[in-house]
Amino acid sequence: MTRYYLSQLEIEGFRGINNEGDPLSIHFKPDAVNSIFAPNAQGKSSIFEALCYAIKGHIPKLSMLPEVDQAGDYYCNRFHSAGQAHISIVLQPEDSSPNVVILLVRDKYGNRKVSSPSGHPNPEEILRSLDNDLCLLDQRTFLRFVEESPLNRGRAFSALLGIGRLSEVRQALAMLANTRTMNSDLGIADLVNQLVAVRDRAKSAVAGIAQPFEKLTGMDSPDPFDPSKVVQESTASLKGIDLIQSHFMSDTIATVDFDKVRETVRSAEQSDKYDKLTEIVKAIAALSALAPNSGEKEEQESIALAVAAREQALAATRGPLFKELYEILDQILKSDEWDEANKCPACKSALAEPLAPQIQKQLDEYSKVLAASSEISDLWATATWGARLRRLVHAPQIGADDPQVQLFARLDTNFKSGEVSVENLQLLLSLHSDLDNKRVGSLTALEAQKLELQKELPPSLVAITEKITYAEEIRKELAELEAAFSEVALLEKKLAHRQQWCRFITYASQAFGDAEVALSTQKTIAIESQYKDMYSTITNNPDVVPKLQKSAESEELFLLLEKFYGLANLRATTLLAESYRNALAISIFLSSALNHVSPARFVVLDDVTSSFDAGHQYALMELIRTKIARPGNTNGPQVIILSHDGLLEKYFDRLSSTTVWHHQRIQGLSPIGAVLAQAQQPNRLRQSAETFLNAGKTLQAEPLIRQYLEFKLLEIIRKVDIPVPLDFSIRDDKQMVQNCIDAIGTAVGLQTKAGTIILDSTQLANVSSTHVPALVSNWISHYSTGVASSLSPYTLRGVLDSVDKLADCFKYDCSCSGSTHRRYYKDLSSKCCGC
Amino acid sequence: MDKFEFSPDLSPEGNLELFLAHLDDVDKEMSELLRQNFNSLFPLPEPGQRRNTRRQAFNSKIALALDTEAPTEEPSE
Repeated sequence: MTRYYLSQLEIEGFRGINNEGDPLSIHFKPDAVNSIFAPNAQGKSSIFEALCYAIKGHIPKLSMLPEVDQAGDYYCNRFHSAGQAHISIVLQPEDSSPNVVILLVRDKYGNRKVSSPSGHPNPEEILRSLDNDLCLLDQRTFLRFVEESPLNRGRAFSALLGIGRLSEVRQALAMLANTRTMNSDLGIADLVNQLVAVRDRAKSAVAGIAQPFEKLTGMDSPDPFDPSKVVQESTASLKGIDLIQSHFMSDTIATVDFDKVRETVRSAEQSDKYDKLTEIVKAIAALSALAPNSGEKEEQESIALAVAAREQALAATRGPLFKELYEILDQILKSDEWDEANKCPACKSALAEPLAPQIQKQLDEYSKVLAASSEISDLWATATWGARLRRLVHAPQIGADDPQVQLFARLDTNFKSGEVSVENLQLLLSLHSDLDNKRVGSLTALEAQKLELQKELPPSLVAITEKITYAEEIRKELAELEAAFSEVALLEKKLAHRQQWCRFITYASQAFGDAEVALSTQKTIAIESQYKDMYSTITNNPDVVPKLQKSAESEELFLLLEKFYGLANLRATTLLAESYRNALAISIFLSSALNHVSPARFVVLDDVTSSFDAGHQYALMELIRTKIARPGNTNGPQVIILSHDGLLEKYFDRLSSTTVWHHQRIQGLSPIGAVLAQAQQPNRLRQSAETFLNAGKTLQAEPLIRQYLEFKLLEIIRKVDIPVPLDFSIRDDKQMVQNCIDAIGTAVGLQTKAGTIILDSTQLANVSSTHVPALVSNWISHYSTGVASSLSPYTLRGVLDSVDKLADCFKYDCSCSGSTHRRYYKDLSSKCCGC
Repeated sequence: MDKFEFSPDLSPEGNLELFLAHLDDVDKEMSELLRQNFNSLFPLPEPGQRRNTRRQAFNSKIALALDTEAPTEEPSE
């Protein structure tokens, strides 16, 4: 496995970094701790985000935003004229093979293109190989670890251990395996309901065959029901009639043309009366098939009991709005967001007893209503009288009127959902009774008409006509039964397949969860002594020893204190100050990073120290410098620290003169103009400022001028060893230039009064009377009050020249190397050499 | 079915592949379906509406795929 250091990063048109035509370029040293300081809103986070986007393909912070924020539109800088982002990364292999240069372009439509100007065949694969939790750590992960609920802390902890990806997958699988949402998303309940309805149709068809079969064959329907036997017996019955026997020599009742059979009978008795008789017999057969079933009364009584129980349960509830309220309260009370059992989350009233049981009691009442509704729905789905009523409503022989049809449609919907009142039931029973009476009345009238006709027609032909009609009725029901059977088969297959998925994903979620807990516990144990040592080093407090306790059932993680000033096993979140919790988080992360081997041999820490106490910050930086990062730890990673902390910058500045530390400062006009890395590019900084001034763009030039001034003044202070006050770097950052000038002025004044000043008289005069006053009057006071833009570009160019001349006041001509060059004094009272 | 365990020596992605291979043994057909749609779940949004939308979209794809493919016999555990 090839491992890579981060050697260089160039950014243009990405997030807060515009730098159109002049990319921000940052160099990193593999054998030094790299620090980057930037005041707030100067593009520091954009640097971290550029690395995230390059390596992960997205910026997690933006991916978490709601859809409405359209985060995808905010990757590219909004002020870049092409709306296109370029990120170039140079990776230095640890085995001394040639550097790999990777260029990423994101266009304004969100398309990502990765290429390798250095000719690597698969740059995207390299980037993917760098993606791990222990490569990029941001403040957000930290805050989650120290502040949030045990669940979120557990998830953040996974990231600190380097298995955040597994935590994310675990969450995804748990989300999919939620029984309620799974049933709803996959339509399991709908499929079950559809199956019930179709089976009911099949049952109804079987019931519809019983009477015509008995009339045709004189036998009961086969038990168990057998469609082929029904066809066989019915056909045999008609085949036994001489007049129509020829039609059933090769056909059955399922295939025969009944019109032709009837034509044969009609030919035997040429009469209109026969046609009339046929119609009447058909109508009688249809109405007979709608006769009541034996168990209807009991079914109606069962449903009446369920309806009454539902009404009773409903009376104990307070309506749908309160139901919503109780459900939300229940959710809040069960969530990690609320931990005050005796306080109402809605009105924050203090209660004598815990609220959760009371809410549960209310919800139980609603559950009783749901249970009763469900029972009604089930009873209705299997009720034979319901199926018969449906057929009565739609039978043309009954002639139900429009209001009756509409009433049934409305009530049928209610009964299917189970949301039925006693009044609904009474209406339905009344409709059932009315239509049944109509059926009986129609049947009686038709029987009378049939008798009249029978008197006028040969009795044998009447009986044959009846049998043909019954056979036709049987065929119709058999067709319905066949359609229902094939639909049942289809639905059962669909349901079985979806249930197979449900079982699979439930297993996957459980197995993954168990394995993740085991791995997390194993990893925690492996680094336990190391993170405890680091924690002790950072906090320098042996009386407080932390301990992590991972839940065996969930992702929850509890922060405990093994020791706390002589006490044992206490909750850390309630006792430990924020800085101590941060110290624990970084200790866990760094221990994991040290034990992790991946293609990324660099670790980028973005603003992770912002909530640390100053003492802890320094201890942490010293720990990183001496024990964690290269070159202090030769086997350690290249560490890159991004910070906006002014105090830390002082520390960075001090170390940047050594070979083990490489410090840079980022400043500029984010997000509109250019942002530059100061330490690397003072000349470029000056050139950029001049370019803006030449174009009359004073607004864009001002931050660069300020940055250049700071650089030059701090250079004088460092080179000539000028003392600065303790709070030098933490005063208002807009006053940094003034702070530098004050420090220089004070030191020069002191040395002059002491008579030890090394500056010659011209230099001294220029410092005290020309350049400093010019800078102060023309720039500083204006800039710090925010009205510098009133100055002309010519004046501002004068400011740039002035600071160079000021720096020259602290230099002398040195000829030690043979040729003469300007060199800084050693300090305000001596030169570096004998020149 | 043996209890599944991650390997401490593998990267998260390596462990994920190990898990998916284990699921192949549990139910090849369903495992294949999960693999085909797996990446559409990520990056996982914060819990809330967006996560619900992501889940519903995922399950819709699964339901469609399940309906278009005939079920195969589940291996017994």
